[in-house]
Amino acid sequence: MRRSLGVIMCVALLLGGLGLAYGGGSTSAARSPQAQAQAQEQEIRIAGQFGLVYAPLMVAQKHKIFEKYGLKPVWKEYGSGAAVREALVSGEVDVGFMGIPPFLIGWDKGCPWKAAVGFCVVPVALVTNNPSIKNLKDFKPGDKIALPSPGSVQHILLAMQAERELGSATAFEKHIVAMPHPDAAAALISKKGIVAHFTTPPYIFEELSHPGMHLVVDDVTCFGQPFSFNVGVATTRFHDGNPVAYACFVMAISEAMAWINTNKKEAAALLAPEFGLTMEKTYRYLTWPGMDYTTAPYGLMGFADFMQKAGYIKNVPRSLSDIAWENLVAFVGDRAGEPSPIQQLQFRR
Amino acid sequence: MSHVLRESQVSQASRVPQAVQVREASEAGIVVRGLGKRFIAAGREIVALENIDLSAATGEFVTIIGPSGCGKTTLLRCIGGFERPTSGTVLVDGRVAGGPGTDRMIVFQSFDQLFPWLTALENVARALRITRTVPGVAESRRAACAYLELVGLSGYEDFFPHQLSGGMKQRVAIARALSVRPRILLMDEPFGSLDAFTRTTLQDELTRIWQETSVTILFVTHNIEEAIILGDQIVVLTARPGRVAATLRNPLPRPRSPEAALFCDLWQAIHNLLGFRRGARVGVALPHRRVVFEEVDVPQLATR
Amino acid sequence: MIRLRRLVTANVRTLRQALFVTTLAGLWELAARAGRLPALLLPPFSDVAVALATETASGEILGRLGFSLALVGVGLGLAVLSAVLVTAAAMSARIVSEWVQTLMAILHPLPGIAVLPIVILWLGTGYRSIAAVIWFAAVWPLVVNLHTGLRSVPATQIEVGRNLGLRGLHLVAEVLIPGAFPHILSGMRVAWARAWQALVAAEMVFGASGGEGGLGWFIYKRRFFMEIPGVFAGMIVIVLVGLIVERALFDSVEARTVRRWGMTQE
Ligand SMILES: Nc1ncnc2c1ncn2[C@@H]1O[C@H](COP(=O)(O)OP(=O)(O)OP(=O)(O)O)[C@@H](O)[C@H]1O
Ligand SMILES: [Mg+2]
Repeated sequence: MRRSLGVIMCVALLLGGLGLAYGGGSTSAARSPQAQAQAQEQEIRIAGQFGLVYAPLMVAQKHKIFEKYGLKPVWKEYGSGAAVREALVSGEVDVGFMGIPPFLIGWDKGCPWKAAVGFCVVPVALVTNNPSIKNLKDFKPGDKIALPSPGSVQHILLAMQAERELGSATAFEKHIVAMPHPDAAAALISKKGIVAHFTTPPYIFEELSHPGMHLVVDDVTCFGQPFSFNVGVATTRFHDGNPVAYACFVMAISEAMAWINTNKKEAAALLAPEFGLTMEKTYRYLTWPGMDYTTAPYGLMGFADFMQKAGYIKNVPRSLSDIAWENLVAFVGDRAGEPSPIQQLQFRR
Repeated sequence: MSHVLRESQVSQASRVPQAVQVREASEAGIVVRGLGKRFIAAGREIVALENIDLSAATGEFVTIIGPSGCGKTTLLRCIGGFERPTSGTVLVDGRVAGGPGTDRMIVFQSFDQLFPWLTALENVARALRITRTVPGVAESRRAACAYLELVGLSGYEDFFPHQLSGGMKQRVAIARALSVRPRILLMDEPFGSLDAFTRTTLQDELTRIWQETSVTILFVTHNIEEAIILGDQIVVLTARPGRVAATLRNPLPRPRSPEAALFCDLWQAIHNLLGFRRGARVGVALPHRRVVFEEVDVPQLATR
Repeated sequence: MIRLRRLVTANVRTLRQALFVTTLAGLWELAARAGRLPALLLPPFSDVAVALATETASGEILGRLGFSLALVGVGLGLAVLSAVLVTAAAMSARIVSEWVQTLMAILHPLPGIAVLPIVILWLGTGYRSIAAVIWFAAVWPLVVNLHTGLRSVPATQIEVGRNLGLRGLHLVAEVLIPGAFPHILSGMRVAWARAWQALVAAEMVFGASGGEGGLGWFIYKRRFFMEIPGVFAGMIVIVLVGLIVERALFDSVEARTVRRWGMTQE
């Protein structure tokens, strides 16, 4: 009697747990975009990361640009593109910023989202501490290459270059080590464990300023032309449910970027304390050749093509509209006859 | 056994101290001379033993009895080499005994002296292997079997200690101690925590084993009856500090039974002694007769 | 006869457990298929089973598992070795014993994974760091148990050994080690569990062993490619290995030794 009671209680607990899971699902559904649209101030939950790349978000935050468009932004910071992606999938945030490959992996797996804005073009490069490494062929079997995570921009760039130089996109799968940039930079400089680091600003500048370090290959060589290092991604629920808020989001990002591009000195002064850097250094980084904050998307289709061929994703978008919201589709256009220059920039060369 | 025989034994014992002679230190057997032991515990000096003299010829069975805390265990440990005496000497076959060795095997009181990870047989066989008493594994096992049979444990070879009763464990311990062929077996109240019935059985068994192996035994007990049933000599110790109150020669013929009148007399004598001064001739006055028990002379030590 | 009955009761229990697990899997499948949770959050159990099957068939899981087990083997082996040395030192001098106990009190509560950043600094990334983290996770429970185990050996048994003429290492091998075995075994159990957790955590948090990594890296990589059924498959393998080692290895060793010897009371 007592035993059966225990069993019943356990089952009830289990079902309760399941119910909670469902309940959790329905509460986030209850916070529906329609309901939000009726609110005076429209809440928008934004997932970013820390670093130079996210300067426009910091400017928007400091200058309260989102508020100007009637939005009430909730800022959330994550440690990696994958974490941003998971936040979007779980409904924790409405928009997020990540590299094109993580975005495409999610799209391939059925994440209901598309790219909303291009975010920045940034110099990315493979830096080594081994003077005898001149190209990818010089890496020995035990040599470790650090990059932020599998499936990151850096990982795909390495695969692109591996395919070009060695004929196999997966030639370096056994070489990669996932490490956060600061750890990897320290390991590279102290020559502990890794021989190369596929890195981004400001680490790329720091690393190259040490003697004995040199650049093996840069992003433009890997991809064939510049590409968006990061894109802003909006979920279908947010985009469809709240078109006005979506439009405001795009405008707010654009305004923040425009302000940086026209006021680089002031931007450096504004952001230096955030990064813990001097104003001069911040300015130098913001104006480093290759840095470009722009909402224009670059390379979306090129990444998709390559990743599908190399087996990282299964589906390939038929057209840009499969993976980008209408503002970007309109931005790129669709020239009759020869593709326009900006259309060509969506692909690899 | 007839009463006549016993009476004659008594009178013989009281007339001629036949086994009692002055023995030389070089003689086979064990001699303890002037042994004293002091401990420092909790900042105090504790005199556990003082000037203990005793001796056992080869093949002799000596029981040691005394009140609790008088130093019986300490005495055995000193002889066994586990404690260093503060004064005095222990001689085995005329040689000064040092640290622990297989010539003096101790059978402890506690039931946990067997190695729990070995079967009864392995406990004995392992001892044989360690001491290299018997060459070869198979040979050791065969010898171990024989010793288990000696202590009446045939059929329990493959039992682990936790599957044996307390009495059985002590039997295995005795078998193990005997198996390495010690000169002398030191037994510290091995039957102390057994029930009366088992205790009696084991006393009979031990007597038989002793007779079969003719090993010298020093047997500590706080049970007067046990001391009488087992011992050729009975060493009575005083309460702390332990001194020899008297060493009695046991006149009772084996097998001994507590019903005998003389047994009761001896019991009474020891009982009295346990509260007596040292040294005096020990007698018991009884309504119908007076018996005097012979004391054993302390052997002379050739001092070097 | 008794054996037979025991076999039956044991199987009944296993059957009941299997039934329970199957029910859980069924509930999982239902919950996922009900469609209110996106498959990206909770893939149906059948997808996980398929992932498990394909990843096993491709040799991927076995390779990763081999790597993980080898790493744990190295880490645990070193931990055992150093625990033995540390305990030997502690047993030889009272002052060393005090140091060890103090160190133990300070370091034992620290999870192995917490030292990874420092270990990476000292040893770099790669399998050496992970082995070091495993070593750190495992060594303290081993020292604790070895220490208490040796102390718990009854003085009488040690004296019996000495009486039989055993000295030094012989005494240790013949009496102290077997006498301490129950504690040694439970120390090994804890050490294994902690080592296994540390391994997976280290590989997953930092992906430190890179492309040659084990199961942790397997899961890590699946996560970044959003192959959620693969993530679950990796978790299942980790659980299974933990269970198998616990049940098939430790339980049977325990049944064959400590239980059989009646040394389980401690
Ligand atoms: N290691 C030791 N350190 C200090 N004192 C000790 C030590 N061993 C024994 N003693 C002391 O010596 C005395 C005799 O102890 P021992 O154990 O020999 O007595 P015992 O006659 O065997 O008693 P029992 O019949 O109760 O077993 C006791 O007072 C005890 O406190
Ligand atoms: Mg005692």
